[in-house]
Amino acid sequence: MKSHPLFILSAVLLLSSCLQQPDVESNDAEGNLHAAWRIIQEKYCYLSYKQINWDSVYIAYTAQLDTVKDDYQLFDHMASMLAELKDGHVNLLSDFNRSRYWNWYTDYPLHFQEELIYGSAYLGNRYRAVGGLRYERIHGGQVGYVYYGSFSNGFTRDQIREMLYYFRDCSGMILDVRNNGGGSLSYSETLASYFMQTTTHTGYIQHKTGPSRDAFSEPTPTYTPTDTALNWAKPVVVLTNRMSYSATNDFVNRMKQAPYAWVLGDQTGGGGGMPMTDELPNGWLLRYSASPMLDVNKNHTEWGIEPDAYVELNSLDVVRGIDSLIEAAVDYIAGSNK
Amino acid sequence: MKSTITVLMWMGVLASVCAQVVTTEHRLHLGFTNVSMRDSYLSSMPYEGVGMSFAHAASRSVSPENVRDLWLYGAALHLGVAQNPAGSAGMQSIVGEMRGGYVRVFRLRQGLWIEPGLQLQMDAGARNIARNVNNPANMVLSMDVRPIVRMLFDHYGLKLRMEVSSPLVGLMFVPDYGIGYYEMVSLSNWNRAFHLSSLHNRQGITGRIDMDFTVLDRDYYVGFYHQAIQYKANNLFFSDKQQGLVFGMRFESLRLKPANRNQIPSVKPY
Repeated sequence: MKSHPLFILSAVLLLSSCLQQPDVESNDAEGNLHAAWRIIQEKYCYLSYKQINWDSVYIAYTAQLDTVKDDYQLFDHMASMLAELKDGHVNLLSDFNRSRYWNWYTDYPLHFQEELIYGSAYLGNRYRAVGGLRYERIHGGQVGYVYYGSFSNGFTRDQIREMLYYFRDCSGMILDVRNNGGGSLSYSETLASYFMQTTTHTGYIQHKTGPSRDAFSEPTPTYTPTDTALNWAKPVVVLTNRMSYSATNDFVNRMKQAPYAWVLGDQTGGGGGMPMTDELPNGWLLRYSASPMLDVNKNHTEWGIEPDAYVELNSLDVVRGIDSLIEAAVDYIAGSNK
Repeated sequence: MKSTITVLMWMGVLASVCAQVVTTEHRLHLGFTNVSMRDSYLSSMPYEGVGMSFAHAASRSVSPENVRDLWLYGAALHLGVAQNPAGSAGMQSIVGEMRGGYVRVFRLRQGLWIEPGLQLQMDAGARNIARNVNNPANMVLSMDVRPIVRMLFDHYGLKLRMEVSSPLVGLMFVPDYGIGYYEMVSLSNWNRAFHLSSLHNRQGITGRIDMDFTVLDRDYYVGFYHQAIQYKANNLFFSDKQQGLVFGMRFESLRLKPANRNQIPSVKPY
């Protein structure tokens, strides 16, 4: 009986040892590089999907550390290491720079020229502008054209109601999200909801459940609700290019399931991993993809979403001030109303 | 003047006949602490800074006849502002605390009382790193059953109060390892977010020592406060340590309680 207090004390000490604080790397070049590597190793969600040998990357970049002389060189060195992930959602942020990987669109033609959509054939100079939306009736008022350049610029329901009212006599709508690099997921969901006739299953999302590279949760279904009072039940063509990224990628994924929607242009840029952030010992911020978003067939959307029809920007059309993708969309709307 | 005294005397007599008095001791304080926080969901880095707390604690006897058993209740608000080691980002924390419990008073010897008991404590709040655009905040939510021991030393004009409590079992919120609040809130995925807690995944201690003193017939106290809590679930580690000085005032409120409700005459119209 006398051993009971000792037993309880040992049990408490044993249990206490489970709660060791995670180590913090030293604030030097090696420590910061290791911290960045560890955060990606434990928290980045695409190491397996992209088949990246992250251990080899660490060995290679640690070996080159002796060439690093100052913070600026360390930043560039770590930015190069992170670029191995080929992910536009991975950024290193310091007081003097923000690393970025832009090859997801710089390696491809964009099929978009801003001066074309602001030309007299389309938006002209009398277009309506509310929130992030620019819109006008084109082709003799037969088609509504909307350019939405960033999901960081919001809109209100009243603004959408006014826009749909303005397009009430149009036979279809073109929703142009080319060069839209993303923003808020809630705007993506809200905008897509005006084109859904019922609450629609539009994809899945997963998250990591532990530091192991293959530790993922079961996919959680994502739904796009419908706005029953404010609804577009006519053809809508979504124009995309390689610079349609992140929240725009999510929007296109949702619109793929909308009953009257058709996606036209080029494959989107991707960015299917919802980002999160962590910090390095020197105070730099590291952003990384944490939660992969999947389409309705549980395919990853990280490398982008294919359109229903590929259309390229024709250089002869450009000379004439015509946007080939918009014209193809107009033809589709005209054809679908026959 | 004479009539006023007479009225007061009669009120006193009436109160003693019809009612019993329950005294509640209130302690109200403002604390200034240093803060050390760690929230692996928001950052791998530890944060250090300063904090402030406002707290109210009350205790009263279970009944006028039984002054050995005390009900405890109280609330507190803890605010913290801290920086990462490089000073490049700040973390703010705001945590509200509500608690209620029971202790039994034992007199060990003249001038020394010990009061062991149990307390239920609920904490709710949030930590925030504004620089984290995609995961700027994390919720703090827990409920603990805590053994509590209070001691009172009152001798030779020196009045010291000590209080120690520690979480034993409970329930706590910890987000899943890589989940975003979008998935939790918008998609209602709260899987693996609530955990039974005990010494294996949640350890802590809260302690305070106060010295009471009187100035101009009012009771005040100064004290030293220490709180440390650390918990781990879903491969995420959290800790929150605060220690500092508190300055407070003590007062009592009286409540008249009917001596026997059955003796109160009831009036019936018919």
